[in-house]
Amino acid sequence: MMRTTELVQKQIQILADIPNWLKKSFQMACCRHMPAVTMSAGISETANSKGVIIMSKVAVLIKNPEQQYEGLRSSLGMLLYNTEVQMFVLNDEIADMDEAYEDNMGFLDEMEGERFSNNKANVEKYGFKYASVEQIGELLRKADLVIPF
Amino acid sequence: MKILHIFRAEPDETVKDIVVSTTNGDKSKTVELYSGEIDWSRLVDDIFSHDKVICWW
Repeated sequence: MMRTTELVQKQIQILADIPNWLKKSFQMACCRHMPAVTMSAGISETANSKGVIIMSKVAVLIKNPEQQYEGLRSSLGMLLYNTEVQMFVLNDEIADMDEAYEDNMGFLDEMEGERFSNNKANVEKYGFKYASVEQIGELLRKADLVIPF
Repeated sequence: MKILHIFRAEPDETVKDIVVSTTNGDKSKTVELYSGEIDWSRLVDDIFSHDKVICWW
């Protein structure tokens, strides 16, 4: 029969492994609506070998103009979970720069989220940082999680 | 860094270009879910054996 201390050690080990499994599950799903679930499970921060908390870096890619607003809202939501967020609007100009989009974009900036686009109109009109496809690729390599939204 | 790219639909030119630019001479792998038979068990192994997984549109 397993001793109590061994049982406790085994349970601790299982609990310690859960964040990694959640992270992998997230990567497998990598779909819309998952970030909030995963972040709330507590993997938005990881500690390095010295115990220093490191914020996760998340890249949100938005390709479909119809998803631009929801992508922005999700990026903003992830910032609330103490993650570094980089939002990329690909190809198209912002389809509907209404008050709601502008407000949320302002919140993203205030919370130190970053927004990039390979469309120069977004850079000139709305203050996005320009990133070519090659630069986007480089930034994605540095991100912990990439979410094609 | 080993990156696993999973394509749920056929990638357009932008996605193809981004995928190329993310692979910096590394051993990356692509899996197309939209064509042919999928070896799901191998896919799960691949997910766990790669450093990063990107599941595209």
